Amino acid sequence: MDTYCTDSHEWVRVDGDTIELGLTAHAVQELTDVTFVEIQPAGTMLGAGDSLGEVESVKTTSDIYAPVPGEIIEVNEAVVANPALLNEDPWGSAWLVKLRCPDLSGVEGLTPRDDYEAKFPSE
Amino acid sequence: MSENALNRTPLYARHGQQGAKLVPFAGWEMPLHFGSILEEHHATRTSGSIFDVSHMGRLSITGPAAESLLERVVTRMMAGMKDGQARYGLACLEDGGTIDDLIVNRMGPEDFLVVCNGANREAVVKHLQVHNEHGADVSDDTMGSTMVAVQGPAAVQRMTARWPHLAEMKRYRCGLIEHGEHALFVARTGYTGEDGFEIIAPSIATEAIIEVLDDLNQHNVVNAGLGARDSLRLEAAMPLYGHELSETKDPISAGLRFAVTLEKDAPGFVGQEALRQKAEQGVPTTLVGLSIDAPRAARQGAVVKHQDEAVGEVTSGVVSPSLQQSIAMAMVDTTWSNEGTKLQVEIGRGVADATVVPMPFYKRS
Repeated sequence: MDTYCTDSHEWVRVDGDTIELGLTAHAVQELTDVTFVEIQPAGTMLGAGDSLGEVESVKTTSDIYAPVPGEIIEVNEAVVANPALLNEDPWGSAWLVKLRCPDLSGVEGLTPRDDYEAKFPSE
Repeated sequence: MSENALNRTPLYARHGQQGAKLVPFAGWEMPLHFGSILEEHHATRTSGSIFDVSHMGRLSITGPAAESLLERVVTRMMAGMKDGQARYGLACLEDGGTIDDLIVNRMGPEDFLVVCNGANREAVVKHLQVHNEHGADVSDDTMGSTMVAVQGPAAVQRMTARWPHLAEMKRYRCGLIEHGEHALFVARTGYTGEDGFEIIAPSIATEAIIEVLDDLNQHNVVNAGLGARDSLRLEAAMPLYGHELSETKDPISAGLRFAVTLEKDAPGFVGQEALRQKAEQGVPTTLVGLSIDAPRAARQGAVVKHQDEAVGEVTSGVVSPSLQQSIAMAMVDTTWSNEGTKLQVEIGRGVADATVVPMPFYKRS
């Protein structure tokens, strides 16, 4: 599955009519040690650009945005319970949320992961 | 200031070699961390850490008029200060507002070293010049020299092993260490709540200070950045200019009565009369410590409420790595500043319960 990234440093992976969404390694590095993750509950309807939650580090607090409209169908409770997972595996097991999206056309305007990582490398 | 105008400390190249994440701070390019703010925080408490604090202002005040100039500008008594003594104090406006907080180190009868905040260095120099009626020599020695803080038990252990006379140096005392042909300034001060030293090396001794740091790295003392410095000072309830202190936040309101000597003979220090009135009549707002019932931090500017009524705002907040507890300092209506008072703090989309608690939040055992 192809991964695309947003200008606000989320990534999405499309699977049928659902997307999995997380934060890029670059975003997590900029945040430093993540200490708190809060995601809106399953069932929440989001418009493109709506905040679906917040992530907090020792240093700062940031909103997490949905790049396309959708409904939250699953929250990764493992990351909510242990936010440090984000620092360990941001592209993989530390995904944040799954959305069911009626209209995925907005994904086409996002940046493919390889291009994103060329611009925003991480260690 | 544009990015390309940022100053670099003499340790800039070393930071690069050690994997620092550099950020602009007070006009300087400074390490935020070397991998993990949390690990650097814990290392400072349990073993030791090194902070490059070369961005801080280092002002040399010398000559026959040096003492009287500082007596006029700093809130602490300079007369009676012994050579080798250091005092924390503030420079204030006439109305009591704060220009900066600083440490005065007395090196000799007519020889003082003032360490102030990097962002306020020019304001402090200007303030000194304005009141320099008797012609003390004021020189800004910040550029080119290196200042580091080495903090925590392992740092103290290694420093005192290499320079045994440092073991006899008490807190808030200063002196020199010899390193080859160089003499480095050392004070037993810091901004972490741990025991430790702050060291200043002139530009000619940059190699010497780097050797000291490399050696400390070999003895369980890690490199640390501004991120850990902030969470450490907050646990120790030490004020940060721009947060707990500002031109509109005076030292009495900020709980720094201990650093203000109101008994100086006329003319006293600038702001003395205003601060005396505040101390005698009471201040409308007071800095308090808050323990917050939430898994996350309250940020600067967050509204503090008492039963739905806004009574103040957070000045600094963090989830304390040492205490595993959300803590904050807040400037609140003095009516609601007593220990045990139940307040609320806005965090994110919600409101969390908070209790006024004594400071510091963390005290080393």
